[in-house]
Amino acid sequence: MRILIAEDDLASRRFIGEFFSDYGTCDYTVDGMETLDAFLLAWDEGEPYNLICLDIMMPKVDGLKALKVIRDIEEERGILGQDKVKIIMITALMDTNDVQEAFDTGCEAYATKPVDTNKLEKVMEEFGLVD
Amino acid sequence: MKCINELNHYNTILESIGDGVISINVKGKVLSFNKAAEKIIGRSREGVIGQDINTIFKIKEKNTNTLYKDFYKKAIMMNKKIGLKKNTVLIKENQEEIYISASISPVKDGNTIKGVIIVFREITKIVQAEQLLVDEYENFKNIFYNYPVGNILVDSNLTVKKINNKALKIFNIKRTEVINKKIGAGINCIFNDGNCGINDKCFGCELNKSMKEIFSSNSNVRGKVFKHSLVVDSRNYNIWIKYHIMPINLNRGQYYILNIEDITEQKMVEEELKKARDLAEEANKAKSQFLANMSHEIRTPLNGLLGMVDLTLKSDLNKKQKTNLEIAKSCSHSLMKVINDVLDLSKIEAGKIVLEYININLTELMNNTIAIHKTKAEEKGLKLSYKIDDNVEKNLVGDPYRLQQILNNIIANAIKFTDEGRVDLLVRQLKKDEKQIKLEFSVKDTGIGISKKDKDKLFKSFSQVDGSITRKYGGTGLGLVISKRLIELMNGKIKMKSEINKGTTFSFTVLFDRKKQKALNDKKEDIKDINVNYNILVIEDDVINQKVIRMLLEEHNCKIDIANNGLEALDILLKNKYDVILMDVQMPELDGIETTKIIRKREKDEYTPIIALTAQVMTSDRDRCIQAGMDDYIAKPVVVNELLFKINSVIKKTNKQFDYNLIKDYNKNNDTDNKTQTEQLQNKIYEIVEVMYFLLSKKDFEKAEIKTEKLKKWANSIGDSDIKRLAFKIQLALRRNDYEEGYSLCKKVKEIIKGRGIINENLNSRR
Repeated sequence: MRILIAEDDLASRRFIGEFFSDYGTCDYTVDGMETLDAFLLAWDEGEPYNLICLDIMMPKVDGLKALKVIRDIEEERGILGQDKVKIIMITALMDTNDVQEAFDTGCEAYATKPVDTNKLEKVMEEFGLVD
Repeated sequence: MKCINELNHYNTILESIGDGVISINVKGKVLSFNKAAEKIIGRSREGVIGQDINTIFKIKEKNTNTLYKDFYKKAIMMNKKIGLKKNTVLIKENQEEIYISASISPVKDGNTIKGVIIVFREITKIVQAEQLLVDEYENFKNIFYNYPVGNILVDSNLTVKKINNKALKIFNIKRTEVINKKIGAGINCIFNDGNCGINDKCFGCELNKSMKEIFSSNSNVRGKVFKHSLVVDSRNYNIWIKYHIMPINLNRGQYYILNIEDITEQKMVEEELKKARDLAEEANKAKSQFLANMSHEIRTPLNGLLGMVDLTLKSDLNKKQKTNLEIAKSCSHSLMKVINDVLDLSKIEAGKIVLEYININLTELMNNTIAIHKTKAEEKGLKLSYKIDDNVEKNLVGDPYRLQQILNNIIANAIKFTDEGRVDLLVRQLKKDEKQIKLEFSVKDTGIGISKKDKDKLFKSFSQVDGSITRKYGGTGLGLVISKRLIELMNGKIKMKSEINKGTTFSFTVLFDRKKQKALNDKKEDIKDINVNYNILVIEDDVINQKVIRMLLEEHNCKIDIANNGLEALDILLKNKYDVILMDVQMPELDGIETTKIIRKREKDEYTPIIALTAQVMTSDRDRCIQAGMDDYIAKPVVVNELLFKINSVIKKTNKQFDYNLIKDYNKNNDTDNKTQTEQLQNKIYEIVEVMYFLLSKKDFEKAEIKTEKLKKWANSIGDSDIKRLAFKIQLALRRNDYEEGYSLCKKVKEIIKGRGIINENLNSRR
């Protein structure tokens, strides 16, 4: 399984990466722009990501915008249903507007920092991403 | 007989009139002396007949004490009736002095003067009354002139009739310079041209406005304040004046009194204060902004810390290691709580808290709240329970997160300060009408209690009731302060009842709405409703950015054309016209600044507003854009509301004339040979790849990753998407510690560039 972790803070990136390494190969991007580039690159190379963790507060393009662009690109390219990448939004700030917007745009889960690894494990099970 | 009768008749008249009448011969000897004269002078007739009039009728000038001797001779000399001068007093027999008036007439027999008749009366009372009037007048004059407030009397032509000393002092003028001049000229108004009130510049004059107002309404104008510019000694200076104007009816017509206070000093103090306040506000704002920034900066490393601890806790650990880490985890959580509290409080104090307005299910909220504290309560052996009264409306509208925050604070406190017994939570409904519901939440514990003395300290920032409690129980003491402020924001109140060693009850009210949930994002929907319908050219080299902007603007029915760089844009602009251009500043080939300069140079009659899109947020960059001829500036990542707002406002301003002088310094050397430039860039790229390759072979992955970032940027700047893609792949590989992949990809890049065969020989030989 391919996982993309978009997070600008090194410690969080390591931590989330360590956690997800148990589930698959993790790539890392440090801003929204890179994230979108990586997403497109993966599709172009025929190896799309199964899961993306998106930090909301990121440089260049924030997580919410990145989420929207990803969903738009998928729609444009006719990527549907199970082929669509699973997206978990991650943020340090519990802003209800952001949560609402993220779900409206189409994320699958939302986690606030500090990330509760137990909950994350459950989410992965629900996604059916656990081998 | 007839003669005697006539004499008697005249005598009777003489005796009965109130005026004193004395007749004398030409030598001044008294011939007759009537009753009234006896009474006024105080001497009897018998003693005065035949006496010299100067000894009987002693008169003098009151102030100078000059005796008017032989006064009657003047009448004889002039041969006509004369009067006495003002201020003439008669010295009575008893030496009393009385004011008199008299007429002194020569008595003629044919052409010969036979004697003189003096008719006189006492006028002391009249003189005194007159004096009183004069005194009164003087008093009023003194009051007017010396009044500590400036007073100016003007007529309805604005001509100064009277001005008091204070007013002279305020305007620094002399009385002679102002009387009978127009008020503007009189007080040296800066706009004065001798015609106060009708000068063009008088239009903005407050005084002039007030005068007009008073002319039309004839009622008082009170307490106006204005700044007046005056010329004194050919120097301009400003004074602040507060004035009242009253119409006043004097006997010769309509006048106006201007009451003037010089408040320049007061104003200066005010301005100082305002400046100080502005400074303080600015500082406070800066503080809030700083805290808002810090918020993220503080939480992020803490999150990392917590995450790492959590992760390590999942690995194989011995008991001691596990305990240590658990302590570390608990410490991190405490720190997080403190930071959150401080940030919350500063947010509240900065007025930055915005309450949610969404549906609340009370039962669910209470269940969640209790669940949070259950473990802690059980650990301490306390019973924790809650009850919602049956009649309480459970579906509310408000801010569930903040409500829960308040409950958490109070319940956590109750548990913290209770060592045995129970903590009970009760919800009651106090009021309910069509629109709102008022609920009361109370938390009752059986803890140590709070004394009356300490009660006041409870809700103050950073205070716990006493130091020893702090040490025993811990915490910042911010929880209650935050709760109180949040409750007040929710239109409620918090109360506390307590008895030492018996327990404490905190109760608070909150006002909820009953309305159905309002649309979550009103603002957003408003913007969505706007059909801006503009034709927009987006000049942006980055494909993703193009996508993002297109997506944002097409939602609002804008028609979007995309140019990938400045040169392409210049071509498109020859063919099409747009309402607005969005210009990326950093672009390969021709950057935004230069593109704008060329567009502005080419424009003749038309004008297309240009908004810069850039990731650079320094003011100097902004200035550069504006100087090049752009109309506005927006930072990336673009916020749609802001973008729409800016688009709207620049289009509205389109008619403005562009100042071509600004781009006079347009740099003509920009038409550099693009081919050479590309070649140079290619060489640069090769150089980077070489270094990268070297670093990778040395296994210095960190430095190598920095180089990949550079490679990406340079490749991007010449639009070399193949190299850019490979560079990004190397970067991803290095980040996931897949060094072999990175190494082989780097080799590939090197070969591609070599294959193109445009490498500078110099560079090659150097390697």
